[in-house]
Amino acid sequence: MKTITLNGDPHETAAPTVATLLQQLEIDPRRVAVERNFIVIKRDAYASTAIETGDQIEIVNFVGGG
Amino acid sequence: MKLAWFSPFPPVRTGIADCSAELVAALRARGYEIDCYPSGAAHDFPWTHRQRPYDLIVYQFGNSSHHDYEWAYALRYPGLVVLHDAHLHHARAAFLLRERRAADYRAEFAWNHPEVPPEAAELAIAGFDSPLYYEWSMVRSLIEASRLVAVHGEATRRGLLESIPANSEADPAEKIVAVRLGHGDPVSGDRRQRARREVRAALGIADDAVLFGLFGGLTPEKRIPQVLAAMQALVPYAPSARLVLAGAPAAHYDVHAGIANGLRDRVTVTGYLAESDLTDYLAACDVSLNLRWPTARETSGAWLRALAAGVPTIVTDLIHLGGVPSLDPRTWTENGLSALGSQSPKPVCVAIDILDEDHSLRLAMRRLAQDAELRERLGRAGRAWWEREHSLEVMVEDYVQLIASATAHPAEPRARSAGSPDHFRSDGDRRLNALLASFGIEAPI
Repeated sequence: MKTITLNGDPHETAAPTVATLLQQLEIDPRRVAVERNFIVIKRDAYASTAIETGDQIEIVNFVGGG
Repeated sequence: MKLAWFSPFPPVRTGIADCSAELVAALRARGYEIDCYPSGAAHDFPWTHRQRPYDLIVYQFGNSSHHDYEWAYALRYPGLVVLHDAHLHHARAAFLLRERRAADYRAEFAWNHPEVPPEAAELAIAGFDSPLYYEWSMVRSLIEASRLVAVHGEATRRGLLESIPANSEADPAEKIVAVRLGHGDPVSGDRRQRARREVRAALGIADDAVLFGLFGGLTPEKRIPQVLAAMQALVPYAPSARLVLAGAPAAHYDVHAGIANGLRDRVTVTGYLAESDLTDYLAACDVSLNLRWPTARETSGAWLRALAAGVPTIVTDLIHLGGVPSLDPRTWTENGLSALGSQSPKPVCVAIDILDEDHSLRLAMRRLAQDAELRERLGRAGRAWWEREHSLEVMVEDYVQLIASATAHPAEPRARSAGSPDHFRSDGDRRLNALLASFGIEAPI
């Protein structure tokens, strides 16, 4: 297990990549943007972007419709 | 009970920001756990709500740009919508048209008001805005998307129900409820005397002069031209009468240009006043003028403060103030008491018929300038009315009931159902990508 900071809170995860992390969190990747250590990750790089201990991950939801 | 609270908060200078700050503090003291979401914090809401869902999301809406950011959340996450203005057309149209979303405005206008020819939307798009906006409320989408809607007072509720199209999906009569709006602080006799002495000394106004006051942002909608005309007509009857316009003039309105030569030494424009100074200026006045036309059916914060301070008031006789016992200055008989039956309280203000405004306003100002006993009586009755209808305590009591009612209603996002405008169902990523593309940036998502 790795300890990361997820949207400001400590979070334990075994996810090897951003794509797996989203899957474990049951988040539709089409509805969010993901930032890893202050860098926005392109959606097609989610599967190849590794999650390391100490990473700061921000998952930002879109709220459209207004 | 865990609540999310969408609203502007201080230092934003609006009555709704102040109201939210007071309400949140009072409800927290009663054990509610409340997270506040002003515009700068709203982006944290989806994640927080996903991790630890709120029992209820509260949206405080007013007819200004401070609430633009709330729409997307209110349409996606149904909650309790509190409409401080029963019309939001100005703010909604300004938001959409500022973002060059004329097609979205057309679709939303047609969805909100199917009874109106859709070509009417073109008037606003062409710039013929303000009078048009008062005609149609543009709140259907919020009402249908919400779990419960609250407005201030039963008369406002009835007016809003009449403005909703008959073929609206939801049964608005069940979804719209009335709550009492609390605002203002009682002013002690000592403070009133001190304020009267100090403010009048600062303005060069004699202690025995009859001082009329008009408070808040200075706009033509507060009937300042009509007040100035009535003031001029009052002078022969009340030579000591003075007027203080206590607020900052709106950018589009040159208030000084409207002050006739004969009034220049009788009228003072203060500019913006801080909160505590505003209360002192109110307390220094003999009569508060709280007129408004046209109206988005909002309740004037300055009027409530005047009631709380025990200062007699002159208001415009508006539909949403229909339940307020008042005096008609043409006859000095009581308006609005029949519905209250034997429980009717004493008149708490003087109400001006907008169709007879110039005449009625002159009568009202003349009588109040000359009749100290009536001023005293109205001030006492106004204060009693405020304690019954507009104190923070009664508002908090109503919110406790309101929150309980809202949580009992289902949370179905009805405005996103088939038939509603496409942009209500948008997820936002298409627009984000389009915005980025306009800067030549490849969309990251």
